[in-house]
Amino acid sequence: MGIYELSLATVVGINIILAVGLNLITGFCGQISLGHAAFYGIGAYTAALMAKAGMPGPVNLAAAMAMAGAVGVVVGMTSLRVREDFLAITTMGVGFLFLGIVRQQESLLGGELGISSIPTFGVGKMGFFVLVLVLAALSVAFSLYIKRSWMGFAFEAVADDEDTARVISVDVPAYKLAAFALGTALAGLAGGLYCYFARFIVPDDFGFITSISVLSMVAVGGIGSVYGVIVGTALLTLIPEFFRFISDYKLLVYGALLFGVMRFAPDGLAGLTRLAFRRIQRKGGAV
Amino acid sequence: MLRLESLSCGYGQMRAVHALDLEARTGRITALLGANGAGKSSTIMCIAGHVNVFEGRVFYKEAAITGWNPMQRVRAGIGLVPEGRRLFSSLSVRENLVIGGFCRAKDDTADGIDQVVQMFPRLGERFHQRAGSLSGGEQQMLAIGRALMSQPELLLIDELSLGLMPKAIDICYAVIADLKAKGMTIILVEQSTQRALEVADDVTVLESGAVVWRGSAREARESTEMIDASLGLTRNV
Repeated sequence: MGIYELSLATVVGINIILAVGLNLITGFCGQISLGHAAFYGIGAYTAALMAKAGMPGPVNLAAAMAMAGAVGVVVGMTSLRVREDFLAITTMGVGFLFLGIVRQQESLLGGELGISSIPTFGVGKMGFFVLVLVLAALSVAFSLYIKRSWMGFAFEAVADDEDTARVISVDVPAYKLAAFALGTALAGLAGGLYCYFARFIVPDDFGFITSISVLSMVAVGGIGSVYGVIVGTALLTLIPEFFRFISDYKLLVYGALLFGVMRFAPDGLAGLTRLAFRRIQRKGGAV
Repeated sequence: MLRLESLSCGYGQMRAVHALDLEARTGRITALLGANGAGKSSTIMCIAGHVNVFEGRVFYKEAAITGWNPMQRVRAGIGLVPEGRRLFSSLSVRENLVIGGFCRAKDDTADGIDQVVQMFPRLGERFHQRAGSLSGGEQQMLAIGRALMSQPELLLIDELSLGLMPKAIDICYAVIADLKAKGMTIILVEQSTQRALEVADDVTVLESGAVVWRGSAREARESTEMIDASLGLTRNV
């Protein structure tokens, strides 16, 4: 595998962690978040600052998760007061707030110029790819475990009908906060890995376009489906690389994809795959 | 089992129930009757902890539970079958039952589901079907089954027969009678006075949030005054 392919595969792994985190919040628990990139950024800036201060990589990644998760709980508290469209707008606002703070804070966060010369993780490019791969696999396994656990059932109940969940005494606020804490912590982990991968971060890496890109990965793969999200993330990360000419129109393409998926295949690739299997089974049964 | 003392409750500033005294005795069915807007559902939802108490107290097994949250009440053994079923329509029958058993020991969930399926064999046939695709009767069976998953000692049922075909109502009422025979205490809110009186032991009739008639089911069957009250006619007399 060449350096280019290795880099691409590493980015896919980081994006899978990021998208699996958003899938926990939006897919499992039904809480729309348009500001996921902010938590990605919080993780990246936390890890970058600690790395530049000479702290070891594993500690920095843990701190990135903890910081993003802690801010995620605070943002999650808004989900206890607002829902659906209003929550989407609120989380979008959080994204812009994060960008505003990072851009204005020059002495610590580097302002528009960001943070450069971030030390390496110290395991080489191949070693770092293996690390990302292992962490992505662990994130996916964790996500599958959550989906099949009692917490997963509670998330499904909240996503399906929050009011009914309250009526039968599911602790809705606790589960919403748990979803935000877990999902944003994963975004923080992805951000930490990204800072070690790029070794140079600027505010625009964590802007609204990134939030929409991650949401597109989740929606195209199939909201709530872990395997679908992995496929969706791999596709949407690699397609712009193979079709460079669309990179200037990335947001337009992602927007159109989001619209198309919501209109024609709301369950994404996972839903289409299930439908195809059912048709094949029916045809097989008819023969 | 449950006692309400001068209970006033409602939504925001609005009082839906005024100074209500009510007792639900162990192993008996207490029917709460009245016309639309009488305060029956508000009373049930207040007992379950979903409606604000302005004044008065709620006692459950002699413990004051007025300040308890809904989850504490479910854990203490108060189950709710809400009006309109309120199922998780995109989840399967099985998933609805599992969620109903949240406060139960996790090892017991499979046993609980078996018991519900024995009670309602139809749910076993629809086990992996989405709740939203069930008929009205099947949905009501599932709502009762989901409430039973929490192993309640006191079951609150809001509008059991509402919108159901007669056969489905018969099945649900047969299950209610069976639960009573097993010793469960039930508070039943019902629009259909005739149906409620078939299974009830005690009857309380509300109008505009206050009690206008109280007595045994036998007395209720013989009382034209109770019929008027349950139809909301006493204020016009």
